[in-house]
Amino acid sequence: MNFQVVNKELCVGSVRVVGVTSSSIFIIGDTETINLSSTFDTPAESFIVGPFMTLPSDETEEEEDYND
Amino acid sequence: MIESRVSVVPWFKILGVSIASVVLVGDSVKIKPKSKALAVHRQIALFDAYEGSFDYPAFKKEIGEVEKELPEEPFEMTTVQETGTINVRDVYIYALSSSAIYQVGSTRKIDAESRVMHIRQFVTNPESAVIDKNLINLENGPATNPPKKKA
Repeated sequence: MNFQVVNKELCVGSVRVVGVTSSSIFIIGDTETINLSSTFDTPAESFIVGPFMTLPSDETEEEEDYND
Repeated sequence: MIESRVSVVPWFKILGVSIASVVLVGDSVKIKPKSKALAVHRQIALFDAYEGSFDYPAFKKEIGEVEKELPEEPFEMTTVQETGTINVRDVYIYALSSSAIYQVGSTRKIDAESRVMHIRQFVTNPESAVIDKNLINLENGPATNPPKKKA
């Protein structure tokens, strides 16, 4: 497939945005690849009715690779 | 690589930037913000800063990349930039949150991820709560509409 894009003059006045959230972008420019993912999980077991308890915490700190 | 334009934004204002969000003026090659959040909603508002962990399936499950799911059709894209600039007079943003990006300029790759695990904790069962019928009045419309003043 051949896909040709011709970008002509682009002039915008005022832009007013209330919120950019959960892996969203607002870009004034050019880009090649965009990959945005967002998950919101609220399973049945996360609805807790019972005596007040703090959430379980784990001691081990996980290390993550931010290099790539 | 596609030829990129120069972005011209003489004025912008942002009120809040939080949780792995990016405000970038200028060009970049790759932006990869990643955020994990535990959203805890409690009937009794008591919180300990050191509680909780990310040991939930919501933070471990792989999110498949779109590229892998696309059919492998040969694809060629050419971009012609007739003018070298993108002009925006002014930008006003209230807030950026959870791996959000605002950029004035060009980039090659954007790869953002946000994961939220929502937990609700009650001491009394909200489902068995008695509803005060005096609080529900359908005749005056939704509660968000303020009552009209009489002249």
